[in-house]
Amino acid sequence: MRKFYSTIFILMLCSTKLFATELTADAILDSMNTVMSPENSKATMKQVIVTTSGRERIFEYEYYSGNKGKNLLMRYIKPKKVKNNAFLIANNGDDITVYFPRTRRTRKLASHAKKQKVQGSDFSYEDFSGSESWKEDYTVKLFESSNKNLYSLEFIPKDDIITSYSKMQILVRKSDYYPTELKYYDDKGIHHKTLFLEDIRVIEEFPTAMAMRMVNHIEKTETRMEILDITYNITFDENFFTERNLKKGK
Amino acid sequence: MRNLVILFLLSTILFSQLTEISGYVESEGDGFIIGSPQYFGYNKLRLDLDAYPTDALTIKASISSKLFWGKSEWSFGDFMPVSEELASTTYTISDTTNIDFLYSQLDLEWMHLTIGKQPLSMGGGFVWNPTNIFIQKDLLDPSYELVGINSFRASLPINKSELDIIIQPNDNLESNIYSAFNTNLFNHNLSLVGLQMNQIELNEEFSEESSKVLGLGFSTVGEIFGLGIWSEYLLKSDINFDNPQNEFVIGGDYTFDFQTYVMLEAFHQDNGAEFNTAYNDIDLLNYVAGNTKALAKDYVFGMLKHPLGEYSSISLSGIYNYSDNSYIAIPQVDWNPIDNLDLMVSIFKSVGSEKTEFEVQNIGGRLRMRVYF
Repeated sequence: MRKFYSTIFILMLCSTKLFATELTADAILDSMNTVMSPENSKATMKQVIVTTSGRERIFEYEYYSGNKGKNLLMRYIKPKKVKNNAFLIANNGDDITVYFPRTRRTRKLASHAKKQKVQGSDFSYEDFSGSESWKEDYTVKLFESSNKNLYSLEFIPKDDIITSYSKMQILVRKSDYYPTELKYYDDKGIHHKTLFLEDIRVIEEFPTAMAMRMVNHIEKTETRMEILDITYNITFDENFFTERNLKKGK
Repeated sequence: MRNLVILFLLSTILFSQLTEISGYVESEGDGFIIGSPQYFGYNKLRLDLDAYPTDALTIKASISSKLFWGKSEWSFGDFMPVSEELASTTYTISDTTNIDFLYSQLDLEWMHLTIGKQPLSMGGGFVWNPTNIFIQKDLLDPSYELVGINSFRASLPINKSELDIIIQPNDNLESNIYSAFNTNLFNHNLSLVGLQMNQIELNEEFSEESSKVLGLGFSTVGEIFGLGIWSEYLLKSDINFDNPQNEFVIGGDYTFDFQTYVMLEAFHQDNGAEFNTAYNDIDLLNYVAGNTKALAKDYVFGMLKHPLGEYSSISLSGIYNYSDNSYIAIPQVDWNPIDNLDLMVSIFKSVGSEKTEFEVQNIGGRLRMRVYF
């Protein structure tokens, strides 16, 4: 059965590729979401933060994604100082809860806290939210890309969306609809950060960026993320993405 | 006896294949001008032991030892605006070894059970938590970890909500009981709380008196128009409902686009001490003994924090005692220069007229270093 679905999936990709020149921005976003949002995933990630002084800080965390990226749970493994610190991003980033193991306290963050850096990295909480809701939250336009192998999409947030970005630009590969670059613009329209998705391999039938690099053009810092291991063949019970499970670090 | 417990704990946990040992070493130095400059501090070792015998079972233990240095003999007048008779009463602090936590936790699909000396944090307040009847935070360091409470806790998931019951047995079996129904309403976390506690207070003869108190309250955490908002309320009374008392907290926070974080929190308690020209000694001792959440009736806490680079921040926090018009301001720098090392420098500046809560300390400073392993 699984093979059958894979075949259908590949056929769908091929059929959309045949009509690539006529695709709309929404259709490209749909295809991107299909390849970007497997039902579930579990990964161990290494995060290297390059500070303004050029020094490197290394973190390691477990990453669980469920319901096509709608829910996300991250739990730090290293260094010792942050071990078992965890956060839960549910409902496509609308609900963020953090957990502090030393006090065993969970805290729901208000939407303003999405702007805060996660452990001093160039990623904010907002950057971890899934792309499933982008179609509803943003007005998407397709632009000519200087690279004929890439689509260029522009995302402008709708009025009722709380985000610290005034615009996002995403370059998407025509070959498999996988993004290679995300540019984030701040509220003044200044190009603030760029996320590069690199070393893209097919893991269990899904294209996967094994390395990601967020470059902060304002602060001249950089955060790299490497996937140490990942699987999409996983299911989570209904209580996995809950505050209760957030507290259960091992 | 304590050594035996520690030995048993260590041997049990160390020989388990699924044990994790971590902890930290913390050194702190404090200087205050209390008439003349006074210096004191401590070196602390904290050892955290976690074991997971099965997927459903967790054992956690934390042991801490504190070795003090500097000024060890204190008088009440050093840190409280007590009367002259009480001001010269002294006590000595000495080195301690404590078991901060020692508990086991069973996680089943339909129930989570925790038994032992466990950390208990509840309520939305940052500095004050009216619904937490078990322990209070340090007013000058509210985010510092608290020791555990010997208790039994059962949490029962009910759909997406939870029923939480905590029982803290006392020596006379007159238990403190906390129960809460935790749910989500309009994107706010809501806890409806009912409790029973033994309230201990000092009487006019400075001896402890215990009375049974019932309480009803709630706690919320959420946001309104992009602002983080929390509130906590407790109505407590004796069994005959003769003397109802209100306690509440309301707070809010916001992070600006330029990463500056601001927080405000206000606290009120009906049974706070009255201030005319001075506080009553009984009220001061009740507060120091942890019998009341705060000394006076009304307080405001504020904090402004801004990151300096990736791993340091500067903050200014302050507590204003509305009842006696005194306050303490705490500028602080936090720095995490390398992995697993935290440094903190803070200054305490107290302002208030004679015999007010924050008048005593004048000015002080604190340097703290914590190394995690």
